[in-house]
Amino acid sequence: MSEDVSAKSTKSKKELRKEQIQHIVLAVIALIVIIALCWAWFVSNTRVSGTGAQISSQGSRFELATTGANTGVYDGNKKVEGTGKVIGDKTYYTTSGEKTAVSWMVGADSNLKNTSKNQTLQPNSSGRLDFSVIPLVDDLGTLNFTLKVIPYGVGTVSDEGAVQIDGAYYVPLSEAEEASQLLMGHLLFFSSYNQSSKYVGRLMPSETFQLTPLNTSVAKKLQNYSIYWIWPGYFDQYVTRGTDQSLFSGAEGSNLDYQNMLTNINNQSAHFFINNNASIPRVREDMSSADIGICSNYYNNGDETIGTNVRYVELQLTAAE
Amino acid sequence: MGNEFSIQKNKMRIALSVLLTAILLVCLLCLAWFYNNRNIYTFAHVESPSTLAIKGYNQTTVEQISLSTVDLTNDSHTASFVFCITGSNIEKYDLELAYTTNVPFTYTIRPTTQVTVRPGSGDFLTYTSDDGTSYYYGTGQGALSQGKYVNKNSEGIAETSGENDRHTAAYDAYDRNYVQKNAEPVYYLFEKNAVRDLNQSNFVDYYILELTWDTDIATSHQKETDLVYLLAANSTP
Repeated sequence: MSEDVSAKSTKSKKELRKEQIQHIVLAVIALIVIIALCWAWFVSNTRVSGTGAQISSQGSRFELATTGANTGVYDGNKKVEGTGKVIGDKTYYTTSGEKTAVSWMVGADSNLKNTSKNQTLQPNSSGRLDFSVIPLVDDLGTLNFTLKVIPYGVGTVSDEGAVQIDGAYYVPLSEAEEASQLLMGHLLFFSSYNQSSKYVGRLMPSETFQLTPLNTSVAKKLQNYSIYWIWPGYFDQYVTRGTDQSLFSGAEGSNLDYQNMLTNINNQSAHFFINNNASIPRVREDMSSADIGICSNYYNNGDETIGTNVRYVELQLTAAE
Repeated sequence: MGNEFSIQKNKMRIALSVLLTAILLVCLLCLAWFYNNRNIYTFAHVESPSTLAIKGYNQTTVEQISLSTVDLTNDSHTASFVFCITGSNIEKYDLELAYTTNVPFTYTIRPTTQVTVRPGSGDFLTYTSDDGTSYYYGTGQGALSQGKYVNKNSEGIAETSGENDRHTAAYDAYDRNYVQKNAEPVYYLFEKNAVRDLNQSNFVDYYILELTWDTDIATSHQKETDLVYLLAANSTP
C-alpha cells in the first residue's frame, strides 16, 4: 500500500515537473511576444493611450529642424531628408515620429565643409552648424544634447555599419583606434564664438550638455541654436591666447575654457599627440617655445594619422528631454 | 500531504512568474514613454595629408641657400639662386620671403622651369650635379607680382606701429632702443600661389631668388650680415 502511494507520488512529481517546465516555456514565449508587441507599439505610434491601465504614451514633445539648401553632399546612402515644414519665410526639414533621425541640412553659413564636393575637412578649417528645436508642447523642459563624432575608414559592403558614399564603402572605426582618439582633441566644438571672446563653452563629444537658444520665437514655436567647430592647424593655437589664430581670448583674468583645455591636453594626450613613446612636455600657459615646438611635432603627427586613416566623419546631434 | 505541498509550491511559482512579468511590462511601458529623443547627422570628407617642402635645384635637399658666393663686384649687380616648392595634395600655397635689412639688396622672386637641354637663347642659370648632369633655368620670366609687404614702412624697414606692426608681437615693449632697426626682418607674402600642374601627384614649382644692388653698395667697404628666409605654407582653406 505504501509502495503504491510512493509510486503514485513519484509519478505525480515527474508529471508536475514536466508541467512546470511546459508552463515556464510558455511563459517565456508569451513574455517575448509581449515585449515585441510593446516595442512595436510604442516606437511606431506617436499617440497611444491605454484607458484600462490609466497609462498613456504621449507623442513627441519636440522635433529637431534644420534649414539649408541641401543635405550634406557626403551623406551617401544614409541620406534621409526631414519632413518639410514652412515656418515664417523658411522651410525647415524636421524629424518626426516616422523619422526620428534625419540628415542635417547645410548651406553657406552652416556646414561641416560639406556643401560641395570640392570642400573637405582638414586642419585649419572651421565653421558653424545651425539647428532649431520646434516645441510641440507648451511645457517643453530643458533639452539635453549629445554630440557624437564617428570616423569612417575604407571598408567593404559586407562590413557591419558600412556606409556607401560615391560608390565606395566606408566603415566606422572603433573608438579605441588612434585616429578615433585623435579626433576627440583635433576636431573641437564650442557653444559660442566671436572675434573678441574667441571660442567659449567647449562641447565634449559623447557627453550631455545644454545650450541656450539664440532666440526663441514663441509665435513660431522655434528655438534656434548654433554650434561652432574648428580643427586647429597648429598646436600653438591651443596654448597661446589672444592672437588672431588663438582658440582662446587673451583677456585679463582666468579663462575657464582655456584652463580646462590645458587640463584636457595633459590628461588625455592620446587625443592630441602621436609621440611614439617620447616624453611629452607638460602643457601650460608659460611653456617654452622649445616645448611648444616638441608638442607641435606630436600634434602634426596626429593630424597626419587622422588624414591617413579617416576618410569621412559623421557628426550626430541627439536631443532628449 | 506531500502532494498538497507540491501543488501549493507550484501555485506560488506561477504567481511569482506572473508578478515578475507584470513588473517587466510596466517597466517597458515607462521606458517606451520616456524614450523620446531626436537625432540629426551629417557627413564630412576628411582630406588626406598634404606635403610641402622647399628644396634646391633638381629637388635636391637643402637647408640653406648659400648667399656667401654673392660677388658684389660683378657687372650685372645681380645674384640669383634656384629653389623649388614641391609637395602633394595641395592646390595653393603661400610663399613668404623674410629678410633683415642691413645690406640694401632688392629681392625678387621669379617663376622658372627646369630643363636638361641647354637653351638656345635667352638668359638662364646652370646647375651641375655631382654626376655631371646639367640643369638649366630661364631667368626671363616676370617677377611674382601678387604679393605685398606685410610690415615694411616708408623707410624700407620693419614697421613698429599701426596695422602693419609685427614688432610688438615679436618684441613686446622693447622698442628701437633695444632692437636695431635693420636686425628686424621685413616680410613679403605671396598668397595663394596656384600649383602650376595639378595633374601631377607630386608637384614641383621652380623659382629664382634674385638679389640686385646699386653701384654704391658694390664699392662700399663696410661689412654687414643679413638673414634671408623662405617660407611656404599650404594656403588656408
